[in-house]
Amino acid sequence: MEIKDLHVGYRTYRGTSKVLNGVHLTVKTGEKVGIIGESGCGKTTTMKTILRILPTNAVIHGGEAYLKDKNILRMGKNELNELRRKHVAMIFQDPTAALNPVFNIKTQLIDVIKSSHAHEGEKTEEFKAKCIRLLKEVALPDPERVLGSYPFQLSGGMKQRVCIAMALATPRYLLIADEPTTNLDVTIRDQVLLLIKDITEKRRLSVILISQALGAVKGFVDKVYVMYAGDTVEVADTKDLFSNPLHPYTKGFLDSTPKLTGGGFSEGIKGRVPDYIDPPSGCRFHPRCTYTLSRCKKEKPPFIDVEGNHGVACWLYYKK
Amino acid sequence: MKKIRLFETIKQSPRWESFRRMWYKFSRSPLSIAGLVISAACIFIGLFAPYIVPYPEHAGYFHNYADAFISPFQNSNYIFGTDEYGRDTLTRTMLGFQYSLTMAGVVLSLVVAPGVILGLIAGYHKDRWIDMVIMRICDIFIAVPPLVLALAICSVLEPNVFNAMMAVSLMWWPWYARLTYNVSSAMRNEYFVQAAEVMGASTFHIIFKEILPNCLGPILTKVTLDVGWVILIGSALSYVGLGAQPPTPDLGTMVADGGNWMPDFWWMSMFPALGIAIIILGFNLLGDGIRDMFTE
Amino acid sequence: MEEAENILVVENLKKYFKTTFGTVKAVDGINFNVRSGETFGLVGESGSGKSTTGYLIMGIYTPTSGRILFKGRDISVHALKRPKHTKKDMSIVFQDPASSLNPSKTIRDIVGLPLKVHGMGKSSSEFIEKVAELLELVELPPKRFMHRRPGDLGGGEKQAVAIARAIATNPSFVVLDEPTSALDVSIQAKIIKILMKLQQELKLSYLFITHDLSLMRNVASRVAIMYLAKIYEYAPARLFFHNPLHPYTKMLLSSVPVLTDEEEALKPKDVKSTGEVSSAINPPPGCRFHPRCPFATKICKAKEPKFTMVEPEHYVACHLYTEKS
Repeated sequence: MEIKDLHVGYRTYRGTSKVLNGVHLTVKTGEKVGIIGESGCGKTTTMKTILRILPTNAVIHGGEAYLKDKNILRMGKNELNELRRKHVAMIFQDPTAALNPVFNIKTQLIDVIKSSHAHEGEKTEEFKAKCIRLLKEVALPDPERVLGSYPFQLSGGMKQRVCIAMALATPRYLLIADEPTTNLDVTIRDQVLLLIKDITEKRRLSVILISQALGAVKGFVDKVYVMYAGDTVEVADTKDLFSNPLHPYTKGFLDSTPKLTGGGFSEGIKGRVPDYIDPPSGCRFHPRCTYTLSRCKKEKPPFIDVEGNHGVACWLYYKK
Repeated sequence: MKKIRLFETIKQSPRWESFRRMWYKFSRSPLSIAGLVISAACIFIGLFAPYIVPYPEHAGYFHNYADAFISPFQNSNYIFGTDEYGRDTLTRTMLGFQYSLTMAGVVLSLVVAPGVILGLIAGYHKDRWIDMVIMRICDIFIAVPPLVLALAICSVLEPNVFNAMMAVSLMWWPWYARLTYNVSSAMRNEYFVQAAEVMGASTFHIIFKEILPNCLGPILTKVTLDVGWVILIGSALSYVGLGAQPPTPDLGTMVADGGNWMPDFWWMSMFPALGIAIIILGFNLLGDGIRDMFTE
Repeated sequence: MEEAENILVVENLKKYFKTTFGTVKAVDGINFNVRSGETFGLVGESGSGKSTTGYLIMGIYTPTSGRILFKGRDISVHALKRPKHTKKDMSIVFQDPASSLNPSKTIRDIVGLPLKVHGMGKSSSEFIEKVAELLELVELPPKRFMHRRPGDLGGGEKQAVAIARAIATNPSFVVLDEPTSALDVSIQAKIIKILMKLQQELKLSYLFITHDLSLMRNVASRVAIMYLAKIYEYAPARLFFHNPLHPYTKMLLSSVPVLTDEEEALKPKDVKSTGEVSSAINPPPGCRFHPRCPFATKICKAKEPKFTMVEPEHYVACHLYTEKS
C-alpha cells in the first residue's frame, strides 16, 4: 500500500481544518509497519482514509492512496466494498464498541464471513466449523461457549481476540491495528500482541500497527513512521529509530517515556498540539521545537534521506 | 477603538464560542431554520394578533349576515372567507393563534419547573425512598390516559379555557420529571459530581449548579416539541366542548363549529386546522434543530 | 517500622458490592499506610480494587468493614458524613479528565468551587486572585484559561485544571487515580513534573494509583501491588523493581513494554503472562493468584498466604516465602 502526500481536513463551525498535511506511507507485501504519534496527530484519520470510512464532514484536499496499484481515493462503491470485505481489515481500539451488543458472537462472525462472499455455497455447519477454527486460532479457550456468548459476557481481552478473528475471517492483504491493546489490561496486552504477531507472520499479511506504547511497537514491526500534527516527520527501521532518533519531536517523545530503570522525568515537550484550523506555517512542529531555524517557520521541510532507510522531515538535516 | 475592543472581548468569551458552535449545529439543517422562521412567525402573530388583524371586532359576538358564508379567495375583504355569522376567518384564525400559544405558554410555565425539580431530586437520590415515591407518583399520573383525565376534570369543573389549562398541566408535569430523572440519574455518577460531593459541596449546589445545566438540552427540546402537543390536546378539548366556549376564537372550537358546515363551507374548519398544523410543524422543526444543537 | 508520621492508615479494609450476579468483593482486607510527604504507589490491573481503595479513602464509598485513619482520626464513613475540615484536607484527581470537569462550567468556577465551599476567598477579587494563583501553579496562564470551558481544553490541560481544583484548599493528602492514563506520553511527563513540584512546594502526601509500572518507578517511594482485592507485595520502590518477589509482580513486570536494553534486563524472565484475571465474585480459594501462577503448589490452593518480611521494609504474601521460615 502506498500513500503519497495526503491532505485531509474536516469541516467544522470554525471553518475547514487541515489535519493531514502531506502524509507519506509505504507498506510492502508482508511488511509490518508501525505508526507512532500522539493523540490528534492524524493517525486514525489516515487509516480511515485508507478504508474510506471518514465521517461526512471530512474533506480530502489532495494526495494519492494506492492499494496494489489501485487508487483507493477514486474507487467506486463496488470496488470499495471489495476493499473493505476482502483486502483490508481493521482492528479498533475499543473492542466493546466494535462488537454489536445485541448479537451473539456466532452471528457476528458468520455475518463477516458471509459478507465477503468468499464462501458462497457453503452450508451452515461448515460456517460454524470455520468459526470454531478461527476462535481456536486466536487462542480463545472453549470456542463453543464463546460462539454462543454475547459481547458483555466476555472480558476485554477475549473481545479483542474475537475482533481479530473477525478481521482475519477471510484472506486479506493488509491488517490495520489501531491501538489494539490500549484498552486492555497490562498482562493481556502482551498476549494479544504476540497473537497478532504470530497470525500475521503465519499468513504473511502486511500490518500497520498504530500505538502509543513504544515498547510494543518496537518488538513487533520492521519499520516505524512517526507522525506529528498531520505530518510524517520521520521514518526508519525499528532499531534505527529507537537507537538514533533524528527529528526533535521523536527525540522529545522518546525522552518523555518513563523508564523502568528509574531516572526521573524529562520536561516533556513544551506547548500544545496545534489548532488545525489555523496551523503553524512551515514546519508544524516549529513552535515547540528547541532547535528552530528561521527556515522552519517559512517552509515545510521535505523528506530528507539520511543513510539507508532513515528519513526525516526536518531542516536540521538538510544539506545542499 | 473601545467599541471594537468590546466586540473583540465578546467574541473571545466562552459564551460566544458556545453560541457559535450551537448555531452552527443548528443551521446545518435547512428544516431547522424553516422551523425557526415559522415558529417566530407564529409567536409574532400570537403576540400582536389583536393589532394586526383586519377585523378585531370579529373576535366575540358579532354578526353581519350580509357577509356570511363568503368563499375564500373570492372577496378581497375576506381572504379566507367568512363563517355563518359573517366573521372573517383570517381574523379569527390569527386570534386563535393567540389563544393556542397562550395556552401552551401557560401550561409549560406551570409544568416545567416543578417537573424538572422533582426529576432532579429523584435522580440525585436514585434508588432511595424519595426516588421511589416521586417516580411512582409520576407513574400514577402517566398511567391515566391524558385525554380521559382532562375530560374528567373539565366535566367536573366549569368548562372554560382556564380549567382546560389546569387539566392539561396536571397530566403534563410527570413527563418532565421522568425526562429529567433519566438524564440526571445517569449523570449522578459522573466524576465531576463525585468531585463536588467529596469536596463538601451542598446537595442544593450539586443538583442545581452541577447537574441541571447539563440537562438543559433534552428539556429545551422537549419544551419546543410540547408546544405542539399542548396545543393539540387543548384543541381536542375545545373540539369536544370542554375548553374554550364559543364565541371565543379558539382554533379547536372553530374546527368543531366549522365541522357542522362541512363539506360545503369547508373553509370554516380548514383554515383553523391548518393553523394548528402550521404551529405544530414549526415548533417540531424547531425542536429538531434544538436537539441538534445539544448533540455532538 | 520507622516512626515516621503516618498521614493515612488503612486497617483490614473491605468493600463488598451486592449485585444481581452475586457479591463482588472489590476490596477484601487490605492494610497499608502512607507516610507524611511520601508518594505511596498502588499498582494493579482492572479488577484489582485499587481504584475502589482510592474511592473508599475519599469517602465516595462506605467501607463494608475495616478502618481508615486520617491523621489519627477514624474517617471510615461516607464523605457526606465526614466533618468539613477533613474534606478540606484531602482531595482526589480522577482518571478521566473529560468527565471530571463539568462541561457547562468555566474553569474559574470549577477551580473556585472548593474555595467557595470552604469559605476561602470571600470577596470576589480575592476569589479571582486565588483562582489565578492556582492556575499558575499548574502552569496554565490564568488570562487565557480562566474563562474557558473544559470542552476547549486538551486532555493535559483538563487534568491540570483537575489538579488545580484538588490543591485549592491546601490539602495535605491527595489521591491520584491514574492521573495520566488518558494522556499522551509527552503530556504525561509535564503533568507528573507539575505534581512532583507541587508535592515539594506544598508538602503533599500522595496515594498514586496506576497500572503503568514504568511510571510508578519514577514517582513512588513505596509501592504495593494489588490483585483481585488483596495486596500481595509491598516494598520501597527500588526493592520492588529490582528484587520483585511475588510471582504476580514478576508477571506484571515482564509484560511492561520497554525500549532500552537495560530496562529489558531488569524484567524478570521466569514468569510470562498467562491467563486472565478471575472473577471478583468468586475468587479462587486460597491464594487468589494460584490459577495463573507457575509456582503454585497444593497449599496455595487451600490456604491464603500471610505477609512475611523478606528484607527490611519488603513484605510479600506468598507461600513460596513463608515456607522458608
